[in-house]
Amino acid sequence: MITLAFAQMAYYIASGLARYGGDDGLTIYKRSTFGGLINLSSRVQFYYLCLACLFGGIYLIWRIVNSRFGMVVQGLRSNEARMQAIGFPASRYRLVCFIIAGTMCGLAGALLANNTDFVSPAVMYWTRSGDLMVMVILGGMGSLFGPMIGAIVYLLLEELLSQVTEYWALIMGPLLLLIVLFGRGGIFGLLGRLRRG
Amino acid sequence: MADPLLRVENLVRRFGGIVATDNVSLDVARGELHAVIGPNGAGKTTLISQLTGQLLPHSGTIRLAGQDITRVPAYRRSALGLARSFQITSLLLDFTAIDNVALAAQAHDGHSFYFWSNARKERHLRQTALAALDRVGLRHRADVPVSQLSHGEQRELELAVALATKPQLLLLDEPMAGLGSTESARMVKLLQELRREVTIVLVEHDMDAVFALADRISVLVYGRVIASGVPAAIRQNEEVRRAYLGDQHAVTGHG
Ligand SMILES: Nc1ncnc2c1ncn2[C@@H]1O[C@H](COP(=O)(O)OP(=O)(O)O)[C@@H](O)[C@H]1O
Ligand SMILES: [Mg+2]
Repeated sequence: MITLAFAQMAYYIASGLARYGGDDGLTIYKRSTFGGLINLSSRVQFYYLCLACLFGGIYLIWRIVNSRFGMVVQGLRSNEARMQAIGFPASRYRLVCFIIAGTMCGLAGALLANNTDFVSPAVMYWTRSGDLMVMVILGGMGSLFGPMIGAIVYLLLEELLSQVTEYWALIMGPLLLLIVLFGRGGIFGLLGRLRRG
Repeated sequence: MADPLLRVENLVRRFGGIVATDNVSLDVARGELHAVIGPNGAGKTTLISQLTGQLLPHSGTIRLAGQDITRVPAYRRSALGLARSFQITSLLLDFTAIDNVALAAQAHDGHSFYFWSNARKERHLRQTALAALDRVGLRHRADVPVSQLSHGEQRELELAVALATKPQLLLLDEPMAGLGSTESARMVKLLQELRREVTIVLVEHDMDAVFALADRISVLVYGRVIASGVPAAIRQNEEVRRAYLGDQHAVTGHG
């Protein structure tokens, strides 16, 4: 909630910065060059860069989840009082966790800006945070591949449904509700349960 | 006389209008098993939570081995050798038994800002954890997720987690709560052994257990200590009988 509030605050600040386009956003005329190593005007190279970032990110998180730090964060998620009682300064670990998450989002943002050649305060609007939350819940919270699956399914659904009707959100909404109500652990959780029979 | 390990002086904690801890003073000597009894709502859990730092008192002081820890945050008290078990089992349910204990060992093995190597493969953490599990008789259940342990096993695991932090003072909030009679007997036997190694403050409803285990007993009623002394004296104390033992003897045995 506080995160949402801060995003909203950042949105209004950015909207007010006329120098960077204010409300209208800012067109980017040149993509990142990486010192000439990678040419992002090539769709193929861009694609593989994103893919590498995705799998690099997932591998990194996988390492973190099973590390000492990851154990602490998982512990904090299920029971903070207990973690304090056995000797962990909870807020320090949570802060570092936010920093890691924020850094990764920053990377994603850089890729996004390169892809669209455009940035505007809209990416900070709360609905965008909402989209991300939906992807995570859809795919399965607290799992490594859940959010990835969630993002793919969400974007595919949006694409397909918007071809059928312009009121695609009317179908998407109830669908999400069903997942939240009955599919604990999202799609990833469902898959796990199917596999176990 | 040597300083007591724990000295509580004039502790007061209010919740709105009610005084849950009303001017409580208490000494616990090193090596002692000190029981705190009292009817439901007497403020036993509130007292324990102030000792561990989950709750801050409105006034009064708490000293551990002479050091004033009244305002020291919970995680630092743990480092100073204070450990607690929770009245309502509060383990990490999606972790295995050994993961829970290893995490407690990890908390006392330097900082945890390591992001790369697998914590479950750290031999010395696992060994400390196994030793603590062994201590409470749960070694054979090490790799079972907590959610699949029986209630009795979860209570024992609570103890193992506390032990893995190598405490000098163990605060146990109703470790027998909800246990059957065989399980209770096992817990009493376990506490009989542990008391030789560590100072214990035991909050318990089960009077048989308390009188079997305690060196000294403090009786809490409406947040006040109405009596404190050896079990025989407490049994004889008129005020205690009136306030507690007499009309509430049905309490014996139930959670
Ligand atoms: N977090 C809280 N907020 C408000 N009142 C509380 C809180 N915790 C305990 N109390 C009150 O303080 C009194 C003592 O509670 P507690 O310490 O849980 O008693 P006990 O453990 O002896 O049964 C009770 O009257 C209870 O309602
Ligand atoms: Mg209680």
